[in-house]
Amino acid sequence: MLGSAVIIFREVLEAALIIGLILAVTRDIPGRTRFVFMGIAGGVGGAVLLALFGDWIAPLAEGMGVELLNASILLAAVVMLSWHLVWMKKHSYAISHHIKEMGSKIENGEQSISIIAFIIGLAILREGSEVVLFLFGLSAGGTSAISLLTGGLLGLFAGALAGVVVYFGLVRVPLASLFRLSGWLIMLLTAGLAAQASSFLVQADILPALGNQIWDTSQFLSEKSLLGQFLHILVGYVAQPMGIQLLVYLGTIGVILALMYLVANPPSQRVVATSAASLLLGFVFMFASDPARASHKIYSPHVDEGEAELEMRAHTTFDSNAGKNSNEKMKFEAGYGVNSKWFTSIGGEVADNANHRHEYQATYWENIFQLTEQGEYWVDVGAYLEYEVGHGAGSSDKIETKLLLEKSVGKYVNTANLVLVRQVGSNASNATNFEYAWRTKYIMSKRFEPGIEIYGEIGEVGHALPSAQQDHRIGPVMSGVLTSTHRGKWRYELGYLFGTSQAAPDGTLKFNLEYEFRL
Amino acid sequence: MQTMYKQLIVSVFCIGSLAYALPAAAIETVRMSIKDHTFQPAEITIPANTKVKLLIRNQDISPEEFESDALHREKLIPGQTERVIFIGPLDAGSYEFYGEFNPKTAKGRVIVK
Repeated sequence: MLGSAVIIFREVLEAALIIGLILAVTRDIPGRTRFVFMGIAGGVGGAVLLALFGDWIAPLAEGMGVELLNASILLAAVVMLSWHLVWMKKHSYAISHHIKEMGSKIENGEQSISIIAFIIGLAILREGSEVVLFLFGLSAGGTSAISLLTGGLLGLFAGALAGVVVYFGLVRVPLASLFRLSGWLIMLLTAGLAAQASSFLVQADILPALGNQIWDTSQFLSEKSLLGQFLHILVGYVAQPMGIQLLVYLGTIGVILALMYLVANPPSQRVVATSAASLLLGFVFMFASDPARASHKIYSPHVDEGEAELEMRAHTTFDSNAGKNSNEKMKFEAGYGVNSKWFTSIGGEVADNANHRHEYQATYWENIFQLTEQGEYWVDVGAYLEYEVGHGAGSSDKIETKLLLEKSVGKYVNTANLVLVRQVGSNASNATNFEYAWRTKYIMSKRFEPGIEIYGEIGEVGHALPSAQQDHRIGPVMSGVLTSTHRGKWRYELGYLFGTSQAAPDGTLKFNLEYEFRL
Repeated sequence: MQTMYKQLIVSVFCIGSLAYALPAAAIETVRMSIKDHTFQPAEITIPANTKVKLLIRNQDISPEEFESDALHREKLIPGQTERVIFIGPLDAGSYEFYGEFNPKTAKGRVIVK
């Protein structure tokens, strides 16, 4: 009896915490009680139906019906919760800008109230159907009705109690600060649910895992412990996360923050359309193309104070040799010009592993230091320092330093990077390798800057590799501004590099998309 | 709200059809059963970097939930039914799993070589 109580407690906990949180946040909306009960009734009813029709759903989609259903329920909740967050932001924007019409609608609670019923219903639906099946199975297995009832009620009661504790904990917080606090709480909860949905989609073989285990903190805090489970539900804690879970978690937060920013700073239709188109282009490139080993980017020694940057870089290679063909690499990073001399950014890398599977492989911290003022001397000089933490088995950390040189002659801009790379930590080879990169571009217009880029990896300092084993690539590149407003601008870069040494792949396609804005 | 529901339904539908469109490749199948709240066999060996179809038949009357943090899988298997779980491609190693409803008795591991 106690065993079944514990299991039911676990299954009920998620729904109870979500409901507790939502109730606390929406406590100022009049007439919500009806919707809360509608949500609970709908969720419980749906759970029973789901349990009854489980045998019918399970074989769908080649036996992955339940996974798809779970992912769909979770994603629906993610959409609803994100919508709720964006709505709350709009609400506070409307109040602060005295938009009366908007404000009165909110006082009536028209817009947000029915969503409460849906969120609560969805929270109960998924785990609820498992509780029903579990109790069903126990009764079929001959467990007495009394024992079943007490076990079930005990678990339900304990789970609900946890929800009540969360509710009363949050209700004590004054509404104004609760709005801010709960906004963050709901955002992390939503990101956690999205990551959970991605896990189901991996199980259904629709999404790639991108690394089975990026880290393991199960010794430190097990997901099975009470605290671990609380954190799993509330902030999406996972002891052994897959790469995709990490990516989806961070991506969800990014998208919600972007939407919240957009409702508070509404942009013009044209900007929305172009931004959406560029993002789409980026994703199509990422997923449709088979994307490269080394990262091909030229760094300029100039730092722009107060400028923030979001960047996505993708590479893929082409070669008749399978080992050098379609080596893909993608980098996602966010950076900021702290002052006029220092630009810093942090990023993550997804790349093919030895078995041509995408894997979240590294997290890195990049820094660019502008050492001379632009035009102060014959050549502009800067320094670059990067520390990269490698994830996964057999990986090592990496320190990369670059000397950045740039010289403008009329409309031609010449940039050279001299690079030293050294592996550090476990599995590190004790070599320091030398690499170089060169770009000459012609500023035809802001939107179109054609140029040529050259990259080379020579080998260990003092022990250059035989020329056939060195990696040299050269090719045309075009870059420029896709669209810009007073708020920010989208920059693109597209290039194709030909391999000029035996070790280099025949072709490398590179594509970068960048959004620059001022905070 | 109206348009949002529509979008939601459309996206759910898209995910569903995507699953059907996925090609069914020839995949090695490993069978396992649940009997008296234990996995039989409790240890299976599969090749590294290969996707494997795990076919689990629950011979008990009560349901069981196959769960593994290491494999990132959780799947409910009602009494006297069979369910499919795809695992891999995985790196070599040992991956533990258990039955959530009977964690004391239902334990096992996947050895990847």
